[in-house]
Amino acid sequence: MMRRRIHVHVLGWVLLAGWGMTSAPVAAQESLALRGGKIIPMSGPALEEGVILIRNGKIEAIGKDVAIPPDVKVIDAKGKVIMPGFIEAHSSRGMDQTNETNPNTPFLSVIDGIDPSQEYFDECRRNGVTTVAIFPGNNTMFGGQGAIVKTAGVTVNDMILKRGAGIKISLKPTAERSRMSHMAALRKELDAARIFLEEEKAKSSPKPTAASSDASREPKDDDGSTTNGFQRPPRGQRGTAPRPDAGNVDAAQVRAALASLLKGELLAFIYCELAMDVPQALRLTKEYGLKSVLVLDRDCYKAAKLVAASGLPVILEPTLVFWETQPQTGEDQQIILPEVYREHKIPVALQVTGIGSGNLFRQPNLPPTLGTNFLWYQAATLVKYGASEEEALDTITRRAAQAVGADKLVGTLEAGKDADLIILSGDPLKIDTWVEKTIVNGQVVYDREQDRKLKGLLQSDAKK
Amino acid sequence: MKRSLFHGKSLRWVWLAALLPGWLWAASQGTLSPPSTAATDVYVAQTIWTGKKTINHGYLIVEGGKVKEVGEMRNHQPAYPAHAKVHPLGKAFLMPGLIAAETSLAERGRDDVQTLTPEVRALDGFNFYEDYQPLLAGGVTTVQVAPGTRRLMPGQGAVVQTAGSDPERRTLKDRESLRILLGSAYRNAPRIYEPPIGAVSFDKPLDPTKPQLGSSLASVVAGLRAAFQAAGQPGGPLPGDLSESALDVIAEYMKPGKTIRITTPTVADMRAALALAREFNLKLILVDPGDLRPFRTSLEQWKDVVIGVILQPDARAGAIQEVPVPEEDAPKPMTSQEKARWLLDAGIPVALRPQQDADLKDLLYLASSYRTSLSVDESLSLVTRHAAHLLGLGDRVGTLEPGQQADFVVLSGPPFAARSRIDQVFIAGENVYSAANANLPKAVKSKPLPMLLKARQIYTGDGQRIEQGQMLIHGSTIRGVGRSVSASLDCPVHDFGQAVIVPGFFDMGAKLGLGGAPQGNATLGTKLGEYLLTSDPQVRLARQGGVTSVLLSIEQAGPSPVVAFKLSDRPQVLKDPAAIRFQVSGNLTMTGQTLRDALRSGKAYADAWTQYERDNEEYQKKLAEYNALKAKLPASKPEEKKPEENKTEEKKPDEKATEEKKPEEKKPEEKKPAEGSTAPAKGPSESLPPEPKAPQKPQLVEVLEPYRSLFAGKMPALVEARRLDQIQLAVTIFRDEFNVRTVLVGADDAHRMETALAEKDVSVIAGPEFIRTVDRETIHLPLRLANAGIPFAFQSQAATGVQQLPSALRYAVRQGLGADDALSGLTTTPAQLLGLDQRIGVLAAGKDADLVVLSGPPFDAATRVIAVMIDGQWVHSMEDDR
Repeated sequence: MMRRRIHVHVLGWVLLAGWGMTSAPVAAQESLALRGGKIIPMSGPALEEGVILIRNGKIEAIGKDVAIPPDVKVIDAKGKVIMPGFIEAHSSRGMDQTNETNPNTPFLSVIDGIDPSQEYFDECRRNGVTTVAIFPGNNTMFGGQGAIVKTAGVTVNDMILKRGAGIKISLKPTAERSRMSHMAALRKELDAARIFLEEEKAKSSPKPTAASSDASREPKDDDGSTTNGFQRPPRGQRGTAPRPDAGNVDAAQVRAALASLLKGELLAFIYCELAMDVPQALRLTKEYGLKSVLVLDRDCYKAAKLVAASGLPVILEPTLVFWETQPQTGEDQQIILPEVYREHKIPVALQVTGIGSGNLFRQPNLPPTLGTNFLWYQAATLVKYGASEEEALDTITRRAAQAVGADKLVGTLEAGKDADLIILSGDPLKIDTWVEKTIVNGQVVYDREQDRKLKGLLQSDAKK
Repeated sequence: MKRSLFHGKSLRWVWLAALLPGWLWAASQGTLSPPSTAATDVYVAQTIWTGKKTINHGYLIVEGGKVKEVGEMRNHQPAYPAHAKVHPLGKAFLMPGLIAAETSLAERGRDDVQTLTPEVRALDGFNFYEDYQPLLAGGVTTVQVAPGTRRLMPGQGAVVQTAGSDPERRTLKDRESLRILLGSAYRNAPRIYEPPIGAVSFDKPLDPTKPQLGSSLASVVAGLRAAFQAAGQPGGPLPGDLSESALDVIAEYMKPGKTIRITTPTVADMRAALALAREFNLKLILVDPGDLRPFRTSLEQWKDVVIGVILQPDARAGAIQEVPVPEEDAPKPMTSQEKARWLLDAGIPVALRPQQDADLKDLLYLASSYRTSLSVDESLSLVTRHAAHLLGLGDRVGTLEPGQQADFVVLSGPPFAARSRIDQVFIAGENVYSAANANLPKAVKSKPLPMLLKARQIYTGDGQRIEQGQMLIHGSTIRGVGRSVSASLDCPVHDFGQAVIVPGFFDMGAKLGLGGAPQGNATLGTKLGEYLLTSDPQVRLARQGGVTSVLLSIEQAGPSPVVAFKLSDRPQVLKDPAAIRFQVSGNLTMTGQTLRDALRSGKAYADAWTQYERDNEEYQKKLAEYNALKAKLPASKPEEKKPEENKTEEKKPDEKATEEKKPEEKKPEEKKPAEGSTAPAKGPSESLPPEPKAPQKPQLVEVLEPYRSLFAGKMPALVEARRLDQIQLAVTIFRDEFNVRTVLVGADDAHRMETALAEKDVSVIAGPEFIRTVDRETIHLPLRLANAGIPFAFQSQAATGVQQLPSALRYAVRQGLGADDALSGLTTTPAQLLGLDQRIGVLAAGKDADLVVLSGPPFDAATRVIAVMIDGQWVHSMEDDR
């Protein structure tokens, strides 16, 4: 009975949300002012009783003595907390399908797969997430290109913050492959792209010689140790670059996509399943001069030392605390990732569980482990294991923006940045704090007062 | 003023600026930096095998992860910086870390479908974050990891170290060799569906369209030849489905200095491999070669192309494998050991690969199996120097020459000796494993942990001396004594080197255990064992001389109880009473009378019990007969009552039987069975014989109880008698009149009637004085007793002085007493006299672990007590005194 009623609610809500959005003025850049309350800008100390002035989707001014022009709609946030919207640094949701079955699709873009009407975005807004870096899943060798999107918009185009955020590379071997052949295949593709790049360069430059192109390809910092890539013998006569292992996929597209990765136009989001993948990721980064972001699964904590030395941005998987059995002694041991990474002074960014926060409504019989579905909960976990509150909040705002390369636009409340912010009923890391309002690009995209779905849920609970 | 201020400020800035980059650098390097290179460690071990030579009493200086110096520590100290840390390793054997020339530690069982995948790198499949402790426990510091195992050319191998935090530094070679597997097992590559399958139907069935390479050796070799040809000639056509990048890899391994690793199980494979190598000028590592006999004459020429051979031991460590029955006329297959001999004779380095990765932990053991045809040095080289050489790492690992990486293993003894264990493993100077705190599955431990004692000699006490003996102690008991006893490897070993182990000594008369001289008299009913003090400081001193058990009695005119106990912290009673002590002194007429009275009443008591026991036995027998008879009779009505009565009776004699053990408790019930037994007698049935009567049980008198054991011969009478007349009286009364086992205590004049004593089986407890001078004659009593064949033991009549009993006997030995006689007087004889020889007196399996560790042969001038053990516990050791 209960469940059915909720379904009806959900349906109704989705329809309503869809309607609501289409009716919302996309480009109506009305001005907005938030007054009162505690402002946590994440770029400096908190402001008590401050004012934020928003115009054309941007923050125009923030401070104590900002004059509010008369033509501006004012939201009174007295007694509330205002802070930047949360940023999830890595997510594979919001699309019709997480992973592509073809292992070699670096030219695909998530933008083509994002469905703004998905409940996922709904949940994001409800939980104060305003920006998400959406990437293909972890099971595809070259999964495609990710994008950074806002969580509100009628069409994808409204949502895009950054189109080509990076290419997702997974070091987890597909299907029956061994890690060795997976890596061999990966290298083969990257090598092909490298040769392709050289040939492009040769075409444009007047006098190309094999030697000179070789020199330009190999970075000077190569110290010639055995662990670095050996020099391919010049085989120029044979001419064409080898065909990539692309199956029925257009080889040229693959090459072009990987070329922009090699040129540094795209970040490489490298997913490491096991700790042993971390050195591989670093090796690839070094050999091919990639700009990498490490997406680390739980086992990778064993390689924390290496990660720390690399200085690369790190995005942790959602499960931050788990149990592990020692293979030799059979003893169980609790691994607390926030502690391990803190010990090695590695700044991390966070993501939430892949099941989808929609589960809260869709599957009421799910075990009560929904904590990791919420970014604020993840941040609170950091605090539990030793981080300061500022640091924890920084992790899901400013640092996340930095990790995905969007910190010039979002992540803090500063004049000139996107007006993505949330109004909370209280302290951000408290369990009884609600997101009152979510504002994306200066638009109120979520209001708890209007959240019929939430109300329905709470009411039906109360009736029981 | 202004100027100087400015100046100071600027200086400060300069100073800060100079400091900052350094600090930043330090901060960035902090997590990564190797152990500071200035650290110098010196390892001193009894034996160091550098991989080339053996150094006795050697030292190894390690600096910055490398071997700086290795040498012999003759009379001079090696020169090393003052801050160097010296690690004395005692009797350890130090050798280079072991190297496995081939393993499958990279992922296995997930080979590519393609038969030629030279681009695949095994390093990509090696998990640096797995726990390789089992390997380290086996001393393996460097391993080659091979790519796939089921395709013709599965890829490139790598060489890595088994421990270390930085994968980069652990990788000794990321691309070591290109692997090729000949042999029928690897030729049948899967067929590939190409082009991809479309719709499957009747007219278009599912069909593998493209075999990769032929499955015969000829076509495989042809395929390889084509690949090498194409790789060697840039610009040529691409053979088969080999890609450009694959050819690049093959070309790389055709360059000088690079090696091809080729597995050749048969003679034909080997021939083909050698032919390919000569044709394309390749350098080969041959793996698992077949029979070498066809190459007998050409083996010497292999050196041009074969840089080394990797053999697989024929057997797994400790495993039993079936051996194929050879064909009638087929030659006997060549063993791996024979192959190694042949190859080494031909000057070709040989290394090992275990049959399975699980055997890597036993690599050293596997190497030892080559001792049948190789010398110790050669066998060790298979897993060190040679392996390093053929992996192209001879200048980095495999030996402990100066400049080499400091990878070494510390063994508890010679590498191939039984029980030698790997104690510690170092990689690049860092301790990566130590057996003491290894996180490995341990052998099932018995609790408490047994302990193994080793000594130059063990005097078992029964006349045997075991040279280089071992003893296993478990709990309070000896579990084994011999030249080589069974003991788990992790059981602690106490190696006493030149020491001698003898049984714990017995002092037949000590004034210990009651905390001083006993007050008042004791009756024979007194159990002295109940009065013993725990943690008596006197006892602690007393046992330092090696005495582990003593007799305690009360010196009184009347008979006194005697208790035998061990000098452990909580005194352990061996027997209470162990004997009755009598004294023959004062007016002998009176004394004789008293003794006779005492013995007479004791004997009467004992006899009464003996009689009762005999009667009771008879009664039981009769009763059983009676009951059996009665059971045969048909039960008639008038007698219905009787069976009931009988039932109760039947029970009672049973109870009585149990009663006998504790007679004192059941006394009140005594009469009932007697009454009961009369009852059936009243109305005897026609055919039943009269029911037997239970005998009358004598009264139990505690004071007289010990006499029962005395007269039963279960314990001796200790009779203190010193003068001749006293001795004579004692012998007359105890031996002649009452015929009890007699041990004379003191017996100063025993030598005057030694023949008589010997005839009458009288033993003697000598002491506390062993050699006396009487009437200008020196009497060495123990010596005389020994020669007369009279068993004797010793007493100290002292408290803490008990510890000097053995040294007092040393004087007796010096004056002519045989050391063996003296020793048995301290060990076996007392045990026999007191009937304790089931527990103490000798060192044998099953006996109590009471022993003394002496620095040399017992009673030698220089011999000291090193340690004393009672009931498996060390109660004294020389270190305690320091």
